[in-house]
Amino acid sequence: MPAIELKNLTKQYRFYRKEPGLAGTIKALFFRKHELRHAVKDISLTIEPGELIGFLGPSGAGKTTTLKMLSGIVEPTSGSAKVLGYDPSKRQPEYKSRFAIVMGQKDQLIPQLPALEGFRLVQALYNIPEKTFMENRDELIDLLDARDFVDIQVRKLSLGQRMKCELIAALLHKPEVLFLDEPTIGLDVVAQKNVREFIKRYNQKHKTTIILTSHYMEDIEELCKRVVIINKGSVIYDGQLSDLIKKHAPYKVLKVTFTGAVTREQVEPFGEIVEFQPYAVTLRVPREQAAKHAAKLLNAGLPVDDLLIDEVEVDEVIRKIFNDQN
Amino acid sequence: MKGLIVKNMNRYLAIMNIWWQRGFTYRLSIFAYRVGEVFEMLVLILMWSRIFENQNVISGYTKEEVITYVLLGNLFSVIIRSFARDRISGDIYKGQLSSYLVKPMSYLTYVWIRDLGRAAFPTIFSILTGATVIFFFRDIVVLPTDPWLWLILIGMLLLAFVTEQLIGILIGFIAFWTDDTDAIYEVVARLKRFFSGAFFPIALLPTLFVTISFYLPFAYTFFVPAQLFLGKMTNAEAAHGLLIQLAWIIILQLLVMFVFRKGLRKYEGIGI
Repeated sequence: MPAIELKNLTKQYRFYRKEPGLAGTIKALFFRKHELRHAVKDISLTIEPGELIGFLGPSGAGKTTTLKMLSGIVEPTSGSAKVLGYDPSKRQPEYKSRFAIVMGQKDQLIPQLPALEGFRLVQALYNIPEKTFMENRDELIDLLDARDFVDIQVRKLSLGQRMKCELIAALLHKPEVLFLDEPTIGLDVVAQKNVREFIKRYNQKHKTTIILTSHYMEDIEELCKRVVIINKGSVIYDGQLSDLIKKHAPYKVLKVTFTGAVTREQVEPFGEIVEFQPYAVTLRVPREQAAKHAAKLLNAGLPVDDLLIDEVEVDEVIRKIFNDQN
Repeated sequence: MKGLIVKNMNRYLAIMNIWWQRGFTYRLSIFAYRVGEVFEMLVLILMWSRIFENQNVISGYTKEEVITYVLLGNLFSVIIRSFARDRISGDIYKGQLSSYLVKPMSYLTYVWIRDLGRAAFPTIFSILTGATVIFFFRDIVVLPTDPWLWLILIGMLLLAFVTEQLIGILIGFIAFWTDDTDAIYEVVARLKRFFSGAFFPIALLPTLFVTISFYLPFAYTFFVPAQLFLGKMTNAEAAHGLLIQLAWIIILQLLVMFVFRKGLRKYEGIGI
């Protein structure tokens, strides 16, 4: 049985336009023209238990709104969502005890108190028995390497430390489903890596179903085999990340460095030049013929120092997809 | 309902404990606020002392009775005051409400428990300072001896506390519809102070005002308990007031549940 099922899920928002200036303000008191905006349009998805999937898309694509509908924070305009068999919009306590959502910096923790106290608050809210609470808490603190700062006032922590504490707070009740909304946003490179490592390990260990939204390509690359690309409220791709690259990037990249300077004319026969410098060249070659081209180049008598056959940057692929859409 | 409370007592106490701790981190502000209030109280006493220089009785009150009125009324109003409004409007504006909506405890329940914990420290501190000031005026303040009176008094203060909480919650919910709750809060706060008798005993006003104020809940936060204390009201009259308080509590609670439901529909987690 799937853990999460979305069927034609749609959310429309009503919003008002206001004309600029004082006249506009006065006019707005009496006449307000409202428009409808589709934040989420007809999304259908099935997610199996234990999957770690990524929602990728630009800001305003509808990723967060979808998560909010799955959490019961926002009611869908039409369509249905089912998580663990529950309808989230009913907001049943039994459902709430089985999932968790982490949204940016929305504090579960009290800024003026240490995270440990905040964890106690979470324990009280979820009614977690003492022994289970201690075990979960200690496991999470160790996994996230947070022992050094869980007893310091939360508002004195760095963003990365805060995020770790938020993650601990979210997982204390061992949810079966976890929604992570932009978990690495604003974090430095090291913190981002730590958070990604943790999510991966946690998913492997506890088989938690995880939906992760991000507009950072690295998050998706590192963590998700399956990616759902959302743009303007609709799903434009749902499948394996590797297939996405194969389908939309039918080429690979040869990165070559030389011990002696080469000319453009010398490397042109082996592929489309993407970058050229006398001692380092990047070539684009058709995917299936990458090895052949590489072999030809190596046998051409050029002063090759090192040759790397690499995948196209996923960023580029995604950008291409969005550009094609527009 | 009772079973639910007993079963959940540990959770509730844990939550209250945490919010007590947080209240404690603000002890400097709490101290400062209290100094201001005591100062205001003393100024009022000074003012009334001056007014009584040329007369012994005003509208049935002697100087000693008015001073007792000011001291006791102030003590009562700090015992029952609510801090709910700020937290609730903050939760709504910052989108923090969303993180509570996904938790298995009802937000309305949580708000109550949280505010009991939150209010504990400032209230206890206020009671201590209020009692200290009264001690300085102990020659003037005479404690009533009737046990029934005390029973009614305590009941009245408890009900007044509940009423204040519900009103605070309602005003906090206005944040669902407007960015500007401060103004509305100020207006209601002024009305409350006026009709509670905090500025002067309501009995000094024309009869119509006095009657109206008896049917509003505000008088029971200051004026009525103080009158009872002074012996200017019979137990029977005060007990009648308890019924009016109860009626208001039922009305307000229904309003709270209704407004919350309506507000949630409007709330689209935009703060996030």
